[in-house]
Amino acid sequence: MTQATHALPRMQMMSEAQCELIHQASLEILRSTGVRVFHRGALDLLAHAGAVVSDDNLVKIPPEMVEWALRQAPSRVALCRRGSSQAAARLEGDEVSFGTGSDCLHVLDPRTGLHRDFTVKDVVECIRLVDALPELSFCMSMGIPSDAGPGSHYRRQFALMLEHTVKPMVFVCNDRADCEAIVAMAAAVAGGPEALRLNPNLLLYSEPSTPLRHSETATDKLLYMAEVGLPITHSPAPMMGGTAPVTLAGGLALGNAEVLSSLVMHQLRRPGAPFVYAVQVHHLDMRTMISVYGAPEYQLGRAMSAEMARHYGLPIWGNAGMSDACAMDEQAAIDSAVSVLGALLTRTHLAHDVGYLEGGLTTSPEMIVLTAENIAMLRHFAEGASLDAEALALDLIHQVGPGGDYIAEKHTARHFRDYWQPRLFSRQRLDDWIRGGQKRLGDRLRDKTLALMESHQPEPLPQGVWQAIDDILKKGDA
Amino acid sequence: MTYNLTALPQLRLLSRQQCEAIHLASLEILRRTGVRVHHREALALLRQTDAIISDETLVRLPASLVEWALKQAPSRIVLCRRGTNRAAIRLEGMEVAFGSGSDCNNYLNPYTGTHELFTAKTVVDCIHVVDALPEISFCMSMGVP
Repeated sequence: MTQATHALPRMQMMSEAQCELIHQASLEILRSTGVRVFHRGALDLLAHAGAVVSDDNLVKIPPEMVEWALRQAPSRVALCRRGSSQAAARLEGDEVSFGTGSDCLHVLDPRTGLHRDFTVKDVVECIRLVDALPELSFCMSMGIPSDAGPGSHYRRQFALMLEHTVKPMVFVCNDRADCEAIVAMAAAVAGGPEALRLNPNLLLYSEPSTPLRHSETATDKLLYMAEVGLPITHSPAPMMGGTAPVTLAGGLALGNAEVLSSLVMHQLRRPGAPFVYAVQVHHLDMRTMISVYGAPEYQLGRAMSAEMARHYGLPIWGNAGMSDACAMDEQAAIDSAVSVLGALLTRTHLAHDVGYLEGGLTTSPEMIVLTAENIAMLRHFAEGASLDAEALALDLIHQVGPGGDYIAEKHTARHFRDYWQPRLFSRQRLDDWIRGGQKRLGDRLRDKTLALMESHQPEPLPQGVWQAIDDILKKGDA
Repeated sequence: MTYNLTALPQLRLLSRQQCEAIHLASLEILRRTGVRVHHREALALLRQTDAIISDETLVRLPASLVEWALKQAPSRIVLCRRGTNRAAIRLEGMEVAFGSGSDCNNYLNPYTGTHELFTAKTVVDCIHVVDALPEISFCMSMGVP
């Protein structure tokens, strides 16, 4: 008898039959209710392909069009290191990569412990922090700098990311013109549009408008990314109880219909263009009227969304390392750990929002560093354990026998370093901890964050490339 | 087609086959290496079975004996509320119950924020907290007063 000699923890929530139930529900929504598409070019594409368009822009999509689109989209995406063909994040199989979130107004300054507006300097420091931490594989802008100057802040954020990290970038932008400028900057670094398509170091995050609407600008971005063959996640954020039914199944079926209708337009524009799946279903807290991140239902939503993506054979976009807490406190630490574990166990290929506090209005460099520690720790959990003969060690157990010990054994010497060692978490006992100054996690976290921010030097961009980026930025400002 | 209409998150680690591999490895340890039993009455019990005892206390257990024992033990236990027949915890199926730990030397006093040695009073305080919290279903001693 052969048996798998590695035990791997996995979370499963929906069966294949249950995923199919959601799929059928979404197909029914698209067939009978339809979506509103406020984009002329997309309406033409859809009508030409067999969708039924009425009342100007109400599009009803037959199931065969959706299932055609699902067959076209690729099963994997590789995001590359800046200016190289080396994959930095592989959206496939059991791979899970983590990255930050985008566009916070506030930074929680680790030097002062105070919230304040983001500046260009803060954004640069945060990007460098992402570049420094091996647990993070991609970067989003984190902050909107209040001192960015004229022009599109999205372009400026992207230029800052290109300059200060070699890691792939997920960008957000206003419109197609932003996309074009950002792709041009990335192409300048990659060595041209073809090289960028083969070795993409960027992915666009954009959203349809729940419920069941595709705005002109969002659809414009969706079709542009398809045209240039660069990856996009066009991810709805149904707010259960607000823009979506209050129940998870309804929220997911609705959001899934929005993703599928996005995918149809995307694949009609260019069959085979890379598309990353997500339904960021979450709920409206009726007491505070806010969208909740740190909720058990939020984690259920991530798991169900990931399972739908896997059901479709599409790469998976999700979230981790964020909290509703305003301070870098215990609540934030718990939300970080729970969400990181969820992303790992559901094999979410790209998990973003690392470092978000205040439900995504504040980025905290300390939350980024703490989440990196959680990622390192929980990866050891997600990697499971070996059950092979070396790990079972039956001969050794016999040789040591009842009452012996293992500390001096060669087997121990071979394997004791396999255990995960924390960098931030304390394993001291009371006397040592008191002698060491009684430092709490928050104290150690601040020290480590400041040390990283002050010491890390990212690899510089070649001078000529920087000139090309600067020209693109200036053209936008003009 | 009928569907199961509840989606329940479940963590899987060991497959049935992998659990069986661990079980078989343990049976091999008990057959080949054995255990030392330093208890006269337990040795007397084991002598009445197919266990092989050598060197006074080294007991080697055949697989049949282990598998017999596994068949004897009940699959569920109920722990009741004090003085009643009402189940407070059912150790069965998907049930999960939480409780405190036992026998700490040190008590982190929430009034002062400092560590001190446990006293009878602070053990009682801790037991009251366990009693008060609906999420906690059972109690261990927490402190050595």
